[in-house]
Amino acid sequence: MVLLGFAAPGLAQNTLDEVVRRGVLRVGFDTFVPWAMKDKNGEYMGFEIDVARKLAEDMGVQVEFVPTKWSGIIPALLAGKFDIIIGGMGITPARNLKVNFSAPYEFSGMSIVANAQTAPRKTSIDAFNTPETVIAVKTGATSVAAVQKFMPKATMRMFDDEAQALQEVLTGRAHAMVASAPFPEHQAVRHKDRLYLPLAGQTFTREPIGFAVPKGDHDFLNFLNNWITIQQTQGWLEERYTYWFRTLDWQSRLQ
Amino acid sequence: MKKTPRPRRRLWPDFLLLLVLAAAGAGIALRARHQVPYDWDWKALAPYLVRTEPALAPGLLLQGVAQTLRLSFWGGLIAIVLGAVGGLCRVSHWPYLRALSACLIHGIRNIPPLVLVFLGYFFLADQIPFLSHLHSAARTTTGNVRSLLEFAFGPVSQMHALWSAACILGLMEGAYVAEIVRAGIQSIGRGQWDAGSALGLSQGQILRHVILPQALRVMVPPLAGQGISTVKDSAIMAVISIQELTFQGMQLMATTYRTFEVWITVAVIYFLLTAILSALAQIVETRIAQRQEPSGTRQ
Repeated sequence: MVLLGFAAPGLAQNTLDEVVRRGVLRVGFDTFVPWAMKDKNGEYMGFEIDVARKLAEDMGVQVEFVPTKWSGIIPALLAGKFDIIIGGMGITPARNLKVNFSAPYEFSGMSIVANAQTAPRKTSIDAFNTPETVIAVKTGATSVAAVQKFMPKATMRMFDDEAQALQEVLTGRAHAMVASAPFPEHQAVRHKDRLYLPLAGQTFTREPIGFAVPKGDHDFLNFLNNWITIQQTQGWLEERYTYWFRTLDWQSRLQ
Repeated sequence: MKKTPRPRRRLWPDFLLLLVLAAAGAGIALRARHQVPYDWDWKALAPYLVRTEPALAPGLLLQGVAQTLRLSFWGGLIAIVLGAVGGLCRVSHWPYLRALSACLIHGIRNIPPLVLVFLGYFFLADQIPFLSHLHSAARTTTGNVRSLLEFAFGPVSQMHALWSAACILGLMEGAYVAEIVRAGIQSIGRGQWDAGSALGLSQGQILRHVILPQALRVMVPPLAGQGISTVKDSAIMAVISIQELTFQGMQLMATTYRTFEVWITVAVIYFLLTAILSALAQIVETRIAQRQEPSGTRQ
């Protein structure tokens, strides 16, 4: 990180002016259903994609999507590969030491899905807090901190993406998987015979989600915060959130 | 002479071995099928190979193949240029050039490719302002110029990333090409140099007209191998989010969760790409072998 700062010295610049001059807002994110994914026509879609499109539209510029591996997304932002992370990123003090966050524009939470054969009939998070329990998570995600806090005795295994972590649970090599809702809920529906939801669809954490931008640019941050306030008071964010997280209407666009 | 090798007696152990291996393979496959609970669904992948609506178009994976080919082509081109220069420096008469090129080449060859890719992505790529300016210029193009640019380098939004990745790939592969070039030149006997200077040719002339035409023949097979390696090595660029085949495969897995189908499809596509390249390399090698000896050295 120290070296990164050295490599990108011109951080105290005005992103807002630069984006308008360039006519393009470059947005970093990682594929994660239903935040951001590609539909069957190869177009990006998802909650964050709607947010990014709307933000760019209100800035009067084009949007350019830069899909980036989650484990390297903050270094990529700091290295100037894109202007902003709009990717369902939870605001945490550790991340906040490296980047600036906008006010939260949404809240997400962690939920758990477990293998019905190897870890049956559990109804609380405490039931998973044993040394013989293996929990699969995605590397670099806030689920890691959630497992450390709520299931400190469990053995955690980290994977590069949700699909691999899920596969571990399906094969029985891991007993359960922790991820942001609604991923575990969707999987429990897809694999009814093998998976179940110990918390019956409830999340066990509540996390604020914000835009991440490089440090030192308060004009951009001010713009983003006020944009969020406007969209919240007009109900647009709530409406989009409901569409992507409370309904499955969008699934016909996927396959 | 009683040397009559009977093929039957020699072949049956091979057949037995093959049979045992095939049985073992089938056993493992069956076991995996029973023990790993997984619903195979190959049909789900079809629209990601070729899209039919709204119009016929390449799907996500084929777009990835196109980026892989672009990346490999430009990376390979850079590797050839860097490798040729580096290889010539390695056999130079100036100790300074020899030492410098040896340092660089050994440096690159002794750093893991993954580490090189990260170093290049986070440090080198942004230190070339020329690329940023070029990208800004590419954004403003329209019409035919833009189509041509997109054919050569892919979608405009990804051009800067592709150029950086091609440079890193070119640097990595170039180090190996340089050693092939050096070995090729050094494989030509000392006597050829002596004969050249006896004819009154300068060092440059000997290199160009005597040594290189012979050395090229030696260099072609390993160069072809390195070219095929370049295609395979380009997969590593997925870690810096270049949207080539491997990256698109990983994105697809994040959307569809069809881990096994996607990886198997990606593997088959890579195999097809390298098999085609191998066949092409074979043709070139045969051509060169047919044009044997007396060409080139006639000076």
